[in-house]
Amino acid sequence: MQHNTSSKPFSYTSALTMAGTLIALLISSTAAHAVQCESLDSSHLSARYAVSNNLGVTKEITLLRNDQEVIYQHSAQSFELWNTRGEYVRYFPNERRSVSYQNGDLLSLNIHFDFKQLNHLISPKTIASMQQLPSSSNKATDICMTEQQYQGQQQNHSLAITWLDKLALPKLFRVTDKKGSIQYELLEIKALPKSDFIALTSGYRDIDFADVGDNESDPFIAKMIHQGFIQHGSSGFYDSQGKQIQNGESGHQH
Amino acid sequence: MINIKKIAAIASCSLVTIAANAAVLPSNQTDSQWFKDSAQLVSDKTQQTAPKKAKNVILFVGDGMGISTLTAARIFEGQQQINNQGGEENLLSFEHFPKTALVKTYNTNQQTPDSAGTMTAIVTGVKSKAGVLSVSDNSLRANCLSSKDNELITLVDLANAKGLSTGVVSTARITHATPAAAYAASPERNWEADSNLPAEAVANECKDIAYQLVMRDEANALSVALGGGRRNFIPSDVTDGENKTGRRDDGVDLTQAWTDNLSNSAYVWDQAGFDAIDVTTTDHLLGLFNSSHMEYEADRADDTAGEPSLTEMTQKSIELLNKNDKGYLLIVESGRIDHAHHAGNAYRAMMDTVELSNAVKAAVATTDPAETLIMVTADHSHVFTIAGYPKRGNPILGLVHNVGGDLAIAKDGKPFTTVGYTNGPGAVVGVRDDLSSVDTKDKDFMQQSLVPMNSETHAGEDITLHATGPGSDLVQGVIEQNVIFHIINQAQTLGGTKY
Repeated sequence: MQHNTSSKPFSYTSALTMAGTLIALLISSTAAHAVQCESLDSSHLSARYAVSNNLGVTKEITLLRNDQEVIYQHSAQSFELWNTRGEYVRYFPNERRSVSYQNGDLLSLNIHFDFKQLNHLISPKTIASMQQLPSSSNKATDICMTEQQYQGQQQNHSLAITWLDKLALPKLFRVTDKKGSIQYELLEIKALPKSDFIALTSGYRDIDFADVGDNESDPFIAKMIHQGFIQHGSSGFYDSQGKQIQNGESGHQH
Repeated sequence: MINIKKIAAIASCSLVTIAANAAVLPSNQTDSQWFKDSAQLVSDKTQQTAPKKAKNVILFVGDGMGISTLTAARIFEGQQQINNQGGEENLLSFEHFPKTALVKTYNTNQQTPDSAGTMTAIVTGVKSKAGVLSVSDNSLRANCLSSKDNELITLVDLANAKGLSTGVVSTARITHATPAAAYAASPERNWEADSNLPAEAVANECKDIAYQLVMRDEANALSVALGGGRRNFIPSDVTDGENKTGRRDDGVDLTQAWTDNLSNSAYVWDQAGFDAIDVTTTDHLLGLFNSSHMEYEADRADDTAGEPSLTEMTQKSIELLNKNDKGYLLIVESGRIDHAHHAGNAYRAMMDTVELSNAVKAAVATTDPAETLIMVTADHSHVFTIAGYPKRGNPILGLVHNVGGDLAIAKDGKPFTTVGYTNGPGAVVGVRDDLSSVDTKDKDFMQQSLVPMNSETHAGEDITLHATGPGSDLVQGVIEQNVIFHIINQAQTLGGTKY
């Protein structure tokens, strides 16, 4: 997803583009095996990751899948939903309010996202472009945890992935460039019933982003804008080819 | 005999004047196409007469369509035409109309207005405060009790009482402020579904806007209501054809109520259903083509179930309303010009403005100019600017190139676009973007702005009113926005005031 993240020093999207010194952390196999494979439906699951950078900052995000929609929880203050209809919703649990962005709203803000990337943390196109290492099969007895190792280059970034094919999620995902690296490490994975997913997003008073401009007198909208939680759209930075980049750094999409 | 002498004298003077001009002006002046076209235009205007009374009235409202939007959109459209002379010479369809006025838009409590207060002025003849729909400014916003006995009668009410047919069309939610003011009285524009009503409103029996649209007596019902906002008409436990849930907590399916309560009625929600409507057998048509706002014209082709264009909705509405021999009142809003501007995205604002122009053109083509007053206006403007000194024919969404063709450079050494915003999401705090390699004409490009704001804002300058047909002579000068009500009332003899 391309958008302005300058107000969030360690958000999911900014983490994907931040660079730092490589921090090699190995996944805890105990945590990763929190549930038995047979109870896991890859379309209905919750996956918790530790995201680390070279500055020693570690944050957790949780990916929640429900068929054609996916949620990222990265703070107690808000979580975000994307779906295959090209829509994006930002939820604010404390206020029980949400802001919905229809596909046209996102496009008008010059915001584009790749649902497959969000649903898998890494775009399948990126995986397909990488080299699969020969020793990357049957490293786990549980078929859900059967790993495949990939490595490759994208633009000026080196990518290394330990991929869980059954779940279509990375167990470990590391992006490195000359300035440093960022790493996603799977901590826990568990089943997520559809009813739990629906309950998570129910009971919110929603407003369309298109209507925000006519509702800035709404105290909630005013507060969220002040805190920088309402998306602004383009980062305002472009590379020499005219492509948008984030946070002043060269952007790339996974 | 005296009169004949006077006429002869006037004619004589006129001929002398023309002869004198011909002698004074050199041929390089009078042979200029600019000169010829202008002289012909003025000559044509001297022959214009318009009857006073209109059988039908069609009022188009471009939400947020300020004067700079009109200028940019006419160039945008013109530059896409074959053999254009740069685009600047183009006129949007309604800019050919013979009568024009400037309109003051302020609300009773805001210098720069919102759509609720402005549309209230247009449809009731009374200015009110921002945020309220067709209630007087004695009401407190979002306070139901205070709105009691402060409800205002609208053009739709008057037209229905006279036995005319009425219709409201919008590309926004049909319950959104601008279309809603035409048929609903509410102290809060956001009370679109019952789930939006606070306890005070429920206790004091205020009804939500969608409810007010559908639950009207048949004698005062809309014959046509087309737009978005389906979610406000269906229960929250119902999923619609585009997999979206409703927002009604009362369990009432207002789409069903529409067909149950009104004769020869139909409800459609997608392009196929819309296309299948037979206007000869349909007297009450409800079309809700999106859960929320309809798509921008630029994105309409990508809609899940398909949506009709504003032009198609206008044409269908006219066909249906025209069955009433007494006449009709149709209000058509292009609702998303405003939203595109709020997002700082000029391309989509231009596209929707051009589509409004297309809808007006279709309306002109399918109505009798002797009996139909067609007016085009806006509710308010936006802080949208056309700047720099671009050469003639410079792409309106492009970077400014000087008359010599070289790229214009600002004081910071970087190029800049012709169109931009005084405030909005396109502002960058710190160093301004270098757009040298950016396609600023891309439909998703966000124009730069000065003051950083989450959402670009409305503007407070005047907007325009364009008119053609019977009663259009009343459109002149600089007028308050509520005068528009009185023009329609006068032209269509609706009974709102003396005429």
